[in-house]
Amino acid sequence: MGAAAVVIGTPLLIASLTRADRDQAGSAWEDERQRFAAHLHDSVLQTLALVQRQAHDPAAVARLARRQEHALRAWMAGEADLLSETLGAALRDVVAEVEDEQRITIELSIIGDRPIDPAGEALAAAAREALRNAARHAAGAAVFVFAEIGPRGVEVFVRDEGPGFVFADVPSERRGLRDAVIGRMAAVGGSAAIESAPDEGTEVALRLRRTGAGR
Amino acid sequence: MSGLRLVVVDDHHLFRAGVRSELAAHVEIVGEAAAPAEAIAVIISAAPDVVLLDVHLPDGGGVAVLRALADAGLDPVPRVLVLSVSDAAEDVVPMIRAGALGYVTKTIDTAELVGAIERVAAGDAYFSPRLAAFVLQAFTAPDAPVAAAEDELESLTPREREVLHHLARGYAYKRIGARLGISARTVESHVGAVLRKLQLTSRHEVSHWAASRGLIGDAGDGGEEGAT
Repeated sequence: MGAAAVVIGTPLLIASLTRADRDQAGSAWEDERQRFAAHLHDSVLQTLALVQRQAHDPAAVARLARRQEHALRAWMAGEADLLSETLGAALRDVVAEVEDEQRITIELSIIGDRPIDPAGEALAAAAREALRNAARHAAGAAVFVFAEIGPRGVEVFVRDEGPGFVFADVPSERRGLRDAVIGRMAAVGGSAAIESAPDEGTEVALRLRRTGAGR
Repeated sequence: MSGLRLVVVDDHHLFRAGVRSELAAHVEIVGEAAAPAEAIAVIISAAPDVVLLDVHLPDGGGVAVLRALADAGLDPVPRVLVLSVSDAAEDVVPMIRAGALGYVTKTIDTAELVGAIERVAAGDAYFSPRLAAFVLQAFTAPDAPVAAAEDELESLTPREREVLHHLARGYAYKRIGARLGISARTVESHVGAVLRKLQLTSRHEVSHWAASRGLIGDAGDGGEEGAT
């Protein structure tokens, strides 16, 4: 129900937010946004058509609605990932991808942004692994991502409210978390810390100190 | 059933019907409205514990409802939880500054929503992770050289920042309390303090969001382009 209302409500939101967006943009950027808006309208109509045809499959409808919601929110926030050239956009992509793939809902909050660089790409990849891990081991539990992208560095928290675990007992197949998350971050001079306890959920904190590319 | 009485204000009939069926087992819905004037009449006559209020409404939007309620001098003052599809700062912040106690997005699940309603009914603030992140951002951004340090409304205490940071990461009050070594009640009072600062601060980042919705500074015509 909530999902259906989201789709129905969007034209109103587009209308009400364009004005604020206009104020803060150069005209090349504005052209790009217009193009993106046209693409978005098209994709909303397609989604609505698909929703009607798949009305018998609630899971498919929810997924379609969710994907469309992501695209609209990114655009409305004026952060349209036209080319995914910022770290924030890359994180949004990762969240949308894992939501689709694992059929879960992730609550994402981002403050600040900076251009993407190799360290940022590694961080986004590490976040993807941490999210997949959360989806696998905390099925049905709430999953949150909070990213703070600032001049002094980047911190990204991936948290689930699943059963949690004792780190020493991690079964070997879960070592993937170590390589894919801790290894990736270490390779670009960052760090990853995993905090978990039975019944307390799990939180993976990914950190990058300021690098040459970030400001 | 918590016995709480609720009014739902939203211009989408389908959405109101959805909320009604979703919440039927938990609260009593004593009124519905689709526009500000109607909402105010319903709220005054039904005297609900909590009003669930949408941002985007015709004739001035949710902000118009909040203003009219503030002017109506009701006792007790109706407590408002904002429920909207938008999670843009320009929508969220003006609603809080106009007097709402909390803000959640429409994708929230039923249990969370009921929890938020109960919190607001008790007179406490409810910050979704996203709202907590906005507030952190607003109070972190380098402000124009205000006489800021002088005025405690212009900045958050380290403890308040810590609490907000945990909220943005999705921690519940009880967990935050356990992690910081304080009671859940103390966590609540920190959030309440942040809410008041958000309402009263003159920080540029916050006023800017508010002005973008015609809440302050602007011509004061309600400034909403909600009619579709």
